Amino acid sequence: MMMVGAVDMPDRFPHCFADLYRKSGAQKFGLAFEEFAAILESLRARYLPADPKEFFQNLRVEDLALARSCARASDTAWNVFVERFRPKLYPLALSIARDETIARELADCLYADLFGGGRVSRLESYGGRGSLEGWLKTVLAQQYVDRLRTGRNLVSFDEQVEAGVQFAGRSEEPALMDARLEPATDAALAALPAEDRLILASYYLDRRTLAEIARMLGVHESTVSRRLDKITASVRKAILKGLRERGVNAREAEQLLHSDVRELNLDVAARLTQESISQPFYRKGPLR
Amino acid sequence: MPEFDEVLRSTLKSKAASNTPHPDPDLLSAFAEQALKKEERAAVAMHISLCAECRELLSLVSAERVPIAMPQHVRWPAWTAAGVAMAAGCALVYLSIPRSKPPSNAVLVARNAPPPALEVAIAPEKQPAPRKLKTAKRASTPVPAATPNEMQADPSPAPTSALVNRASPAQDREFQMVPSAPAMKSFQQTVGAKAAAPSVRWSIDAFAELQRSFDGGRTWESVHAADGAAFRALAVDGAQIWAGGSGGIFVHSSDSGAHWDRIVVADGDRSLTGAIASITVSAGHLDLATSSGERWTSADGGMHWK
Repeated sequence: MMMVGAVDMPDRFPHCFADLYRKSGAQKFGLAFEEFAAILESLRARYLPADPKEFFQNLRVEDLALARSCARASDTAWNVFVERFRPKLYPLALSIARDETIARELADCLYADLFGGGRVSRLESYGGRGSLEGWLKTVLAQQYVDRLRTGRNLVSFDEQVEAGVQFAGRSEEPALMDARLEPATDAALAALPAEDRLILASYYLDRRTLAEIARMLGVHESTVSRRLDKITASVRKAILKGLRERGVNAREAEQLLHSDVRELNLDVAARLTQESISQPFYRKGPLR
Repeated sequence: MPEFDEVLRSTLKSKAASNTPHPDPDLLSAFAEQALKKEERAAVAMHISLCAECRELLSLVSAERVPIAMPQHVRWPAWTAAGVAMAAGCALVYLSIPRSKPPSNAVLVARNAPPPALEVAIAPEKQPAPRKLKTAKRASTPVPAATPNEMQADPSPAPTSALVNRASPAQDREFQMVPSAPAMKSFQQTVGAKAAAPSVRWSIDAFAELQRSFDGGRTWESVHAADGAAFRALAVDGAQIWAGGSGGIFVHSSDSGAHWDRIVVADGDRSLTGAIASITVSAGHLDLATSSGERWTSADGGMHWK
């Protein structure tokens, strides 16, 4: 048996659990070592880390103990939560919604979800991978997106008719002039590192600004600008190489990249099917 | 090089689908905070690059904080001093004129803006029903207001709660708001929601204080219902307001917050423990759930509890 303070800890748990338990301050919230260890084990089962020890060491155990103790209705934990995090809910919601009324409602609804009120508190799903504040902001963002989607679903048919939705033509993407361009572009994009691809998607698909992408990645705007130039140049080079490998000479390849892409014809229905393969996690019911 | 950009955009869009599950809020927030190890970060980034929904979420999570407007200190020009002195003189003269005693124990604190003009129906006070509860009285100035199109005066006598023992200077009159929307039934439904379409809105703010808005949520004022209370749950049924929170505090107002009664939830020797987590009002029944897992029910508006 190990001892933490006056608490016995069974040897069946890794030794680092005892250190984490001490560090977390779970004891002052009345969270027993066995409960805390069970939480850590459930997180290991959820994320299947390659290096469990490093995984546990990187957990935000103080926030984790607080959140899980709140979920277990510890008054001490709730007092700490109310003091430390409740005042942050509204500013966080405001940074997402940019509207005071909506922000207040988002913050209040989240607080109700966190408290549980007889149901399982949403704090039970917090796993300590990032900060509790960051997690709260992410959940608020999910609620905001859900709210927008619900709002869109509630647009009446009359309003849609007024907006001319029923007359909207089928949107079709133009076809590439040469069938060899598409696989060459696919291959060039597939070879990109994930974060480079994220930058491209955010810039070209979502039309986000360099500043927005920089905030998403936690880097400086100038870094994103440099990386974008570099990625674009390398993709272009890779496409040209791919075209040459597919029997297109250098001059034709250059011309293909300057072709009129309005003729690109992609199967819209197939693409929509692809996009719906994975359900949003906030539509899947309880959070993992 | 617009054509090349279009080729990229079209191809990215056509491949914008991911077969991997969405990262949970833990992973997404850890990604935004650069807290993931290289391999895990790459896996999350790959999903996000293929998933427009997750990119949208990440963008919202990474959004900059919005500065919250704070009251500004105004530097007044020197000539205003004379005007202020004159106004103070007028005020002294005005105050020296005898008049009826104003309501005491003002408990409403204007936060952002003064409420709009009040239109209320003056109704004779009913005799309070026999009390069987321990209550602690708080009274407030009947300030709550709404524009005429938000609140209608009702000529019928106001429904006086059996819990209310009006002993304040304001007891000789009361106003009544007429609920124009279905009552809110539980905390989850009522917090931050509208009690009546364009009428009074109630909420609990970040500091666990009761808040009330008369202008659809643009401005809010604190409503002081009990000393040192940290409220966590709220239920609104027209002019009937119940609020509960830490230490089992439970208060009720039957007049949209003008007067408050503290209700002690107890059944014989047994009393409520923990914080009140939710309040549900349904067909005359009050149901409370506490953080300690207790359930309390009253079938007579809070006079008796089980």
